[in-house]
This record gives sequence, C-alpha cells and structure tokens, in this order.
Amino acid sequence: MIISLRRLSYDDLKNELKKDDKIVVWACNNCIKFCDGLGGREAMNNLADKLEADGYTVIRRELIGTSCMLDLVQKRKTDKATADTFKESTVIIPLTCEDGYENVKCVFNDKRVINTTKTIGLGVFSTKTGMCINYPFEDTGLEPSIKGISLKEAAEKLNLYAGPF
Amino acid sequence: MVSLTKAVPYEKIRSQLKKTDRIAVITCNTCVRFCGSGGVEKMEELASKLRKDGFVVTDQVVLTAACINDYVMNTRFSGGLTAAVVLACEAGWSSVKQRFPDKNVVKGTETLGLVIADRNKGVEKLMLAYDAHKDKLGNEYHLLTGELQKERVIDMEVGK
Repeated sequence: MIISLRRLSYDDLKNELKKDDKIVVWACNNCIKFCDGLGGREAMNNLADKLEADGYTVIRRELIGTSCMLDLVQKRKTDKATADTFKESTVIIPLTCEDGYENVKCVFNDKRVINTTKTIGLGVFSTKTGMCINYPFEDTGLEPSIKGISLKEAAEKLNLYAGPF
Repeated sequence: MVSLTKAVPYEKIRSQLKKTDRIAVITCNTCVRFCGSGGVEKMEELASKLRKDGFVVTDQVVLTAACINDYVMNTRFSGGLTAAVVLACEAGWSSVKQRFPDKNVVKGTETLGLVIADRNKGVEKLMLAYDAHKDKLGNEYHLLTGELQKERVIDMEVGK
C-alpha cells in the first residue's frame, strides 16, 4: 500500500486559502484511508466541517475510489453530476497520495490544487499494528525493514505529520 | 494503489529454491496484476514451470492484497512448507515474510516505484521511482502486460 504523510498543519492549510475561495475537499478512499485516517470519507468530512466552522466556503466534498486512476479523475470534470461544481470551484484540497494529487492537478489545471501530502514509499497494514512503512523511498533516509515502523515514528523523523487534519 | 513491479527472471527464482523444498507460490491480486507481473495466470504459470523442473509446489495462494497483513495471516497453508515465492510488491513480500520469518521467502518481482493509471488509454506511467529505477521515470507501460509503451500518451510532469 502507498504510504503518505501530511506536509501541512491545519493552520498551514488555512494560510493557503482565501475567505472567498470556493473549496472542494477531495479524498481518495484507498491507501490514504489506511494511512492513519489521512484520507477517506471521515477525514474528508472532518476537514470540510472544520473549514466551514472557520468561515470558509466548501462547495463540494468529493470521495473518489482511487485518485491514482486518471480516468476516474477526468470523469469528475466531465460528468453532468459534478462538472458545474468543479467549474465553479477556485481551489481543490486533495487528501490523496502524491500520485493522486498529480492527477487532480493535471485534470483541473485551471484551479489551485494544494499539495497536502508527501508520499514516502510502500507499507503493510494490519488491524493489529495499524499501518507501517516497510519500503521507503531512499530520499526519506528511512531504512527498509520487514517489520516496518509506524507512521507516527516516520512523521517525527521526517518532520511531517501523521493522520488527518 | 498502484505500485509498479516487474517479474524477476525465472532462473533467478529457481536458483533460490531446493528440490527438497515444499513451496507455496503466493500472488497478490491487486497492483501486480495491473503490471502483468502477478495474478492468477502468472501464479499458475510459475507453479507449473517449477513443477516441470522437479520442484514440489504444495500451495498456490491468491491474496486480495498482500500488503494487508490480515489476509496473509488468516490464510491456511499446508504443513511442512519450507519456502514461498511471492508475486507482490516489496510491501506484499514483507507481509508474507512476517508470516514466515524463518522460511525462505523468495521475491518473484522487483518494485520500481509508483504509477498513475489510465484505463481508457490502457497504460500506467511511472511517477515516483526507487533509486535503481530513476532512469525509468515517466515511462509508460501497458496495463495488464507491463510491456513498455513506445510512445507516451499521458502528458504529465513527473515528480522525483
């Protein structure tokens, strides 16, 4: 499974938004959901609720099965049910891995798309131990291991954040 | 969801096994299937080759996603296994190794990096790569076969 950590704190994220922005909170429902709940429906709704409570305008909450599938992302731009809302939006906040983010940025290239995550490699999920990073990209400086290390530990080492906003 | 893998040559897999081994051939059925380096057909093909070469394959196992360790832990295997060949990414291999820490768990694939996929165009594109495969960044591969695409059809900037 693809392992991603969060680049931004909630305050960092707010600093990238304007009060008159029309925001889409976009969440992938695959790997990122297993990354200590950084993505998926619950993370998407919680972030949208927080932003609304802070006076921002969230015009859509978009849950996608796999944001790394380019054709699924493109469908959101062209499908009758979603096209108008995306056209109206000014900013998209993807809760996805960096591949998912690249797809959103490519398809909605006239919008501000905020990169909220850093993808650090591949890992194993277990209901007993949660998600661990086992096979990190070399540029992270983390060591590959069979047992893996928790995302919390990885985040501390990399000066990033684990889990949802 | 999609890691990019390529098959390890059969001779290399074979060289890591003994004729006295009792072998499980295990495949993930997610990313490796997209890449043409795993899935049911590849598992059957590998098990069949090994048997023809005189190896004892006692188990053939398809896991929905090998990187979800619960699937690996809850699978029943024959008693007396001494080795496993894993058609999965590095994470899937780690997951199987966690189940069989004292057995010879052989990698049946090599992990190149992470891709985006476009099912309409039938390709996947390498977006993030491990160091040994940085030269392949931006390459595109046919979905389900893993064959390198001569012309690139996804116009997208590549990250690392």
